[in-house]
This record gives sequence, C-alpha cells and structure tokens, in this order.
Amino acid sequence: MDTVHQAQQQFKEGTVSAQELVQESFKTMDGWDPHIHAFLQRFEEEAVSKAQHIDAARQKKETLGLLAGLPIAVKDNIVTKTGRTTAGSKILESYTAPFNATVINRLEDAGAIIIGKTNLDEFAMGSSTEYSAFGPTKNPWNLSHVPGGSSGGSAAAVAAGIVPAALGTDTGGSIRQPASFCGVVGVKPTYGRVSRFGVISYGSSLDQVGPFARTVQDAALLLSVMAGQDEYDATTSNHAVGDYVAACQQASVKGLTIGVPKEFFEEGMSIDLAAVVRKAIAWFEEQGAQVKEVSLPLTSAGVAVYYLIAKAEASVNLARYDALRFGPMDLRSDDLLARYMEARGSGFGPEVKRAIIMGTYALSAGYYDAWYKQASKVRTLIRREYEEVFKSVDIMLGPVSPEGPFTFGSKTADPLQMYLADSLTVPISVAGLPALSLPCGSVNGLPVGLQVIAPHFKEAAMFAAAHTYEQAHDWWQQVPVLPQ
Amino acid sequence: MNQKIKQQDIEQITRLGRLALSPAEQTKAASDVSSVLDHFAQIQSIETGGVPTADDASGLHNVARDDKQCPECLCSTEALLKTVPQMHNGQIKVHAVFS
Repeated sequence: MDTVHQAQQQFKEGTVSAQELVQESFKTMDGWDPHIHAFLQRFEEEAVSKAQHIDAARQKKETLGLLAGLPIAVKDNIVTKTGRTTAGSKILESYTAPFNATVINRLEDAGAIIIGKTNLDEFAMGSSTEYSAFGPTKNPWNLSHVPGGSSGGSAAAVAAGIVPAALGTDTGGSIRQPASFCGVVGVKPTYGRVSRFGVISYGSSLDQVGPFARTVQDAALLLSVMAGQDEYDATTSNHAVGDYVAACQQASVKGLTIGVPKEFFEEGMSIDLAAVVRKAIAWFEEQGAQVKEVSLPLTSAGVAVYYLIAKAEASVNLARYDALRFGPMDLRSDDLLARYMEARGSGFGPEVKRAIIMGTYALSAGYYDAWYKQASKVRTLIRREYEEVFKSVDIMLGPVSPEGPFTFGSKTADPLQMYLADSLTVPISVAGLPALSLPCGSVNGLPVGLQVIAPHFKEAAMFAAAHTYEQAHDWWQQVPVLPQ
Repeated sequence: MNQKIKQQDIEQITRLGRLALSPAEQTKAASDVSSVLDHFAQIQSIETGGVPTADDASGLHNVARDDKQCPECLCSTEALLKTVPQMHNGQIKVHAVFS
C-alpha cells in the first residue's frame, strides 16, 4: 500500500480509483492477516460501496473531501455504527453502537473509508495486545515478537501495508509504543486536541485519539481533519487547529533548540536502542539545531503516578458494564448483586480485573490520600517540570520505550514488568503533552522509534521536526516481508 | 515499604468493585497488586506540601453546550435495542431489581 500522499497523487492523475485502492487493501489483508491478526472485523461490502460512490463523484467532478477514497483502519474501542465495537473484551463481544464517534464522523465527512476494526488489549489496557480477549496481534517484522500495545492492531495494519493510515488511542503510550515497535509514525495529540466522544473510556483525564501512518505528513493530514473542539466532549479545547501539513512543508531544523532528557537514558534503557536514538539526535545537531541535555527528575515516578490515576479512573469507567445494558445474560446467579459480580468476573480478562482492584483500592476510604491524592499532586509536579524545561527548548527528543519489541509471554506473568515498559511514554501523558514516534533505525531487524515531544498544542513544531528527519532518511520506505 | 494487601482487603475491594474472583484469582491478585504497590510506594516520599491536585486535565472551566437535539446522535428504537444483550417485546430485558 502506498502512502496517503502517493494515493492522492494517483487519484489526481487518474491512475487508480478508490475502488481499486480499497480492493487492494482487502487483498493485502488476505495475505497478511492470517499471520498477524491485526483485524477483528472487516467491512468489505460497505467499503467497496463507499468507494464506488466516491469514484462516481470524482468522475462528475464534484468537490471531494481531503481524504476522499482512502482506506483506513480503526481501533476497536472507537465506536462505529458499522459492525460491532468490542474494545477487545468478551463483555462487549456483541455490542453494536447506535452512533459514530466524532472522529469517525470527521474522517468519513472528509471521504475516508473504514475497512475494518483492529485488535487491541482489552479496554486498551496493555502494552502488547496479549490482553485482547480475541488473541494477540503479531509484529509484522518478526512474528514471535509483540507489535506493542494497546493499539497493536492498527500499528501492525499500517506496517504490513494493509492501510496507509489507521486510528489508535493513547492513554499512556498506546499509540507511540506500537508505532515504535512496528516502524510506523504514531501520534498522541495534546490532551483536549481531539474529541473523545464515542471513545470507550479507559482513563478519562489521559485518553486521546491519534493517527498512525507511514509518513509524518500523512499523520499530520489525518490529525488536521480529526482535531478541534467538539461540543460533545467538554474537554476539547477551542485552541485553533494548526495547518500541520504546511508546517511539514516549511520545516527547518536550523535554529531549533532541542532538549534531551538525561533520565530517558538511565535505568533499564537498552544500550543498543539508546545508541540508535542518540545517532538520530546527533543528526539534528549536524543540521544546525542546538541540542542540550535537560533533566526531568520525576521521570522515575511516572509509572506509579500514571498507573494509580489511570486505574482509578478505569475502575470508575468500567462500573457501567453491569450485564444489564452490556455483557452476558446467561448467568447462573439469582440475586442482583451476585449477577453483577458473576457477569464482571466472567466477562473481564486479567488486566481489567487488576485495574478494577487497584483502582478501587487507590480510591477507597483509608487509602485515598496516600495513593490517589498523592499521585494527583505528583502529577501537578510532573506537569510543572515539563513546563519549566519547555521555557528553554522548542521540542524534546528521546526514546519511546526502554526496550524493543519483546517476545510473547515474556511480561504477562509479571504485571509490574509490563507497566515498566511504558516508563518513557507515561510521564508525557500525565503532563497532557503531544508526542509522536517516528522510525529512526532498527536493532536485530526490529524497528526503533524516536520520540518527539512538544509543548501543549504545539503539534506543528513536533511535525515539522519529525518530517525534516524523516525526509533525510529512508526508514519510512522500509517494509516487512510477507511470511511464506 | 511492604505494601502487602491482605486477603480480606481483596475480598472487600472485589465486593466494592462488583467482581467475582475464584480463590486462585484472589490469591494471585493479592500478590500481583502487592508487588505493584511496593514499587508505586516511592511516590509517598515525594514532598507535595502545598501542591494542588491535578484535577483539571484540560484547564477548561464551566464548559456547556446549547440544550438542543443532536440529529446525528438520534437513532431509532430498533438501533438502541440492538445494543443490549437481551430484549423482549421491544423492551430491554433485565433481571428483576425487587424480589
């Protein structure tokens, strides 16, 4: 599959139709998906019919949206009227949403065609897709390694070339980490930049929707279509949406001041991976940027603060799965309380149960002050720490993850090890900042991502720096080989 | 700091969280959550005197929208009924709340 930009060129030249492109997506899916299991559902009939409409409109020279005819994939915790929305959970296995999420309406209004829903860790809780109730997704670069998570299905679908772009959600790294593991671009916008209306809630003060794409400019285009205030999500900002594509085209690294947090290269950081990331940062310096080491001492507290807050919010958000409106009905218990407990005990998987236990504990009388409240105060300190550093730098660069894609089963036995895999993405989420992952090399044939972090609502600066690096390298042109 | 969660804590929490766990799941949960909280206890030594909690992630206040219908959100009774696990004669079927 080509990039969004290449596909648009071909549409313009008339060398490909939307129907041909959509059919090519399904053909690529037929080849790849039996190996990687990126998709939970495919919408072939609906997608082909939409493509035919767009082709007819193009022939009649009607005005078309910015994404007209482009096949995209959507993480299955974003509600769509088409098909089911399972959030990777047994408890929502047969749930059909009666409405579209705002991001879906905006993309479809721009002409994008949704070809299917992608796999994820149950309720987006996880870093590997191993917690999906429907089986894991595999990394297209090496099938014995995880694709990252929780948006592993979307990242793998773009990496395998099934779609030129996909949607994910990022609460503590769930877009950036799988983007890094699969060698694609993945963007977590500023908290409040994109509407959460119709996104199945995990941690409501952290969740954001963002794009995956092969190139920075493609991701910038998708974000510019999705971003902006939505009256159905009171946390969306009225801050003007920038022209992110133009920001890419006018980009220059010269004169940029870049901060490199020294704590991102400390404890637990893979030496090989650090070397790849350092080399990418050195390129910016060679091109005339001023690179300086900065310090974010609370980085080591990030995992604790993030997980206490995210799990507390999750335990509240998950209360709605009560087996009355959602969930299984074939229960043995008779009284109402026992039925709630049975439905939730049998409908939720291990990580979701842990979230409910940990979150309920952190919020319960006697423990609230020491856990939830203290985590919330430290969150304020982390936010201030980033604000302070951003007074003297334009962007920050660092690794996305302390290690590359791990093998299946290597972390599921120890939840703490799984949480620590997020140590370099969660502090940024806690601070509500925008960040992206961009391919910058590989270790043992597995991709490595460079994390670009920007101040609140400065997505344009983030895209500009990332695009400049990308254009001077060919990582984005490298694709995995279809297994035989 | 040892954050050992006792079996009775787990029982109380799972009751509050409306979650039925098997005895094996309870034991595993107590051990998993204890070891995670052991690590998380590091935040308790961070000085936060006078620091406010981060209650507003967006920094926005008193956001309201006009009280009007949302045409794209409206859907038919049939569409709504499709979202529930069980229905009966065009109504959502639930277990009796009162005996």
